[in-house]
Amino acid sequence: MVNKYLIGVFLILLALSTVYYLGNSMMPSKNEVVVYVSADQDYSEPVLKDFEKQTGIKVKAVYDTEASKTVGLVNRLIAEKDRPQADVFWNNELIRTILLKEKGVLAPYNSPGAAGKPVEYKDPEGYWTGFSARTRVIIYNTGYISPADAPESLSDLKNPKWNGKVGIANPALGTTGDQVAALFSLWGDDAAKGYFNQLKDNGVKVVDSNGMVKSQVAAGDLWLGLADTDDAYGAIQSGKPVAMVFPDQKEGEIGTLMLPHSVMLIKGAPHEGNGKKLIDYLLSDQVEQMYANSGIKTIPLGNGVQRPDNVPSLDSIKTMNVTQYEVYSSLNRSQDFITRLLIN
Amino acid sequence: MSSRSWLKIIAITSFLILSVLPVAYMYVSSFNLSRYTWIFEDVRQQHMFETTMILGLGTALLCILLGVSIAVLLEYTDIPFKSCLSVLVIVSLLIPPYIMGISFLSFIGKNWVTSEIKEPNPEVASMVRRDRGITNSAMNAAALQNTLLNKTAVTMPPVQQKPWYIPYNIDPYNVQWAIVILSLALFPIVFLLTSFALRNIDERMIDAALLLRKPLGAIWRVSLPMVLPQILVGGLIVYIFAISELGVPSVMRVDTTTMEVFNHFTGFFDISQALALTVPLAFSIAVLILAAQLIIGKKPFFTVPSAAEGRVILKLGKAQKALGLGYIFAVIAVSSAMPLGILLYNSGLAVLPALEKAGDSILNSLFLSIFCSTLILVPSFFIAYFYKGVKWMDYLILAPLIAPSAALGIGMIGVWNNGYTAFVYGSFLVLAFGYLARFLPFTIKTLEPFMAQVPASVEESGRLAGASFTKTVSGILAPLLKPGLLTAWLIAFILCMRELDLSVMLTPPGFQTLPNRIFTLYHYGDIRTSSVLSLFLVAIVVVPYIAIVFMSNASKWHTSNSKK
Repeated sequence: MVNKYLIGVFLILLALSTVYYLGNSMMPSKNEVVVYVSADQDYSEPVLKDFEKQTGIKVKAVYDTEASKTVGLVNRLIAEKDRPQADVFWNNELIRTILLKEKGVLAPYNSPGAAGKPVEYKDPEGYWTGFSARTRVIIYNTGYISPADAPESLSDLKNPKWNGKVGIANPALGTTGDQVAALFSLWGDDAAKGYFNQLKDNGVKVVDSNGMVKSQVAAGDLWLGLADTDDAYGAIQSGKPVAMVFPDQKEGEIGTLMLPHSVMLIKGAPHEGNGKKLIDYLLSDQVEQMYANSGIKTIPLGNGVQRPDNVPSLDSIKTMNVTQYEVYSSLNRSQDFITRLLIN
Repeated sequence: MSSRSWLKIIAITSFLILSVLPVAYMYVSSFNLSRYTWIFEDVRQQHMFETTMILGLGTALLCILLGVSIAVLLEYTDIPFKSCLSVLVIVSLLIPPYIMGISFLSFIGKNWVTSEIKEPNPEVASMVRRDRGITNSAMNAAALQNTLLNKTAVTMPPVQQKPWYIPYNIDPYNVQWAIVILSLALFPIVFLLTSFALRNIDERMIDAALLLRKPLGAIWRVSLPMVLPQILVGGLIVYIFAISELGVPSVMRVDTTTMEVFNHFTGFFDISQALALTVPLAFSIAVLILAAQLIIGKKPFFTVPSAAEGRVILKLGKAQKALGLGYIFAVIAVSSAMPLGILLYNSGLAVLPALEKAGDSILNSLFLSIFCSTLILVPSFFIAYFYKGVKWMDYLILAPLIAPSAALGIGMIGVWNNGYTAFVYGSFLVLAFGYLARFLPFTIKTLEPFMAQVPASVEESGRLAGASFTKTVSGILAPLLKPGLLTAWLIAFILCMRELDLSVMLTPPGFQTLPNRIFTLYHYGDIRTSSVLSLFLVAIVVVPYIAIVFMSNASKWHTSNSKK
């Protein structure tokens, strides 16, 4: 009987705690801003906390996860278009940002913070602004490949000596999808298709994500692959035997693809004023500097933003001569082709 | 209209609104015939569909083999450590299959999670790009980065060797290994259903069987056929999970239709095509339901007035006990101990930093799961009760499962994000309704066979004695269905605790679930914190399970003392 009594009391307390806790989470705050974030939570959350501290505005964030390839929130924003819940979207790349603009999800806002950013990384109509960029790199295992042998160009990945040893993330998604689309824009469809056919013939392995490319290269399961700078820096910092190469930097080569974060105001934002304040803050030099000094070591896009010595400046990197809109316009064609070629 | 009729209408309406409406909204609003015809013309799609079928059926069969054999050993034999083993066996269900796959790869030497290399190597430290004659400052900066880090931290060239305990090199990247991994993760579903169903068999039936047959024959010819519905439901649930799974096929480099659905959904933003691709998968589920109905056919369900809970039918010899224990321990070792060991190793027991980072997420998931798994029992109970034996309901119940979680999320947004239901969409309730939509089919299907074990005569007797419908339900049906209700609650709780895709679509601002946090941390390389949190996830689900096993044992003890 005692046991039954105790169990009953415990269950009642548990039920009350549940109702209290969940009910409490429903309480709205008077001064708040809702931001959807597809940037890495470990680095974006401290920035948002700092904004809260500076302004007293409560930040309510929804973070994306790699399980949805960081596009779950893009789908959500499109679905919420008629009755938006978010004020601001902080995206970790640009191509899906353009998709959101095309779908009519965004509202223009010319933030003062956008003034210092290069024109190629901001929307001429003010729908979005880029900041703190990553780039695409070749990552290789230093145990298997010496620096003298390391590939310097995307074209080197076709070399038969890397047969079966090259890895890429799902080429229809994420930044790998952006890179494929960029090559379609830059080289034209036929040349790009020829390149990827040769990669396939050379036994390229498709793995789950850029993070997986990094991990498998670090373990030697693959010898080299394509990833983003944050993946490579992460592996190097955690002591993995890897190094990275910014590809195609020589005279006459195509350069590498820049991947800026982007921030934008949502059309019909419930807290538009606070949303604009958050955008101003995210585009500030202070945030770019914080990101450059963080573990992912992004390249600041603002003029004169201080960065650590081991983060290259924007003008020191040769970038692909292709606009974000051109990449976006190639995306459907390139995705269709590459999926058929490499996923079956 | 009687209260019974009202309840029947409320039950089916709530199911239609919560589960069917969001899915129907998605399919109707994005319907395009050409997307459907394309699937049947494309050879690539057919190939991926075949792979998906092999994955689903293979996993279901292996899960049935593992789940049923272990349930029989733990329920009907005098094998030692039963309670302890019952808990350990289900642990693998709590570990996300994706993590299970990665742990397995680590175990066989593809150790890209645990490969922390400690010894600095000056030769590698000097491997910088400046010796390539490339002069741009970005290169030099990157080179400097490598140099600095290599000097202070790392590195040894890895030599990929198989571990000493692996006799030969294994190529894990194929559908066969994907089946093994998924089976190790999902077999507890079949185990749970079979185990609780075996406890629920009428003791008199077993006595009668033992008069005619030897113990093994009684189990094979009488007990197992009696719980066949639960076994088949378990297999069906496993099949649905296996064909919906994205993580394990990705890790094992197996291309499935589900992956193609995901690509169209998240890469191409082509919801219409993504949904069309799910239709053949839905058709395969319908075929399996039909097959299950044919197999079960007119076999009678048996009753529970004197359940055989705790009854030892088969006494094992010493060697048999050792063999049985060895088998169960081997399964536990590869399904639970191996991934948990790797999680423990990776965690570095850094509990406090993990709590600082994700304490809120733990509480969010815990309270939300308690709320949802309790709430879900109400519609599940009444739908299973009112539509017992109604065959078309089998198809309707499973209909919501055909859409991928993320698509269901969009359907939920379409249905709930409006001026009238703003209080739902702006709060945790939308996530709770999402979980209900997703998991109602599982809890209903779990309860159905238990419901069928209760004879109509028991209810009729209650009614003749003047009991109201409410009294019949609370005083007769609910106590008789306690094992089924506990199983359904536990399965719902586990599913809610580990849900990921739907949460991304529906989680309200400022509210993050534990699986979401774990996967984000994991992806960005914070293996330590994500491992600690994964262990928390396991612990949170094991506690109620232990409580249920404990209560069950206490009830057994009470029953046996009463009989004395």
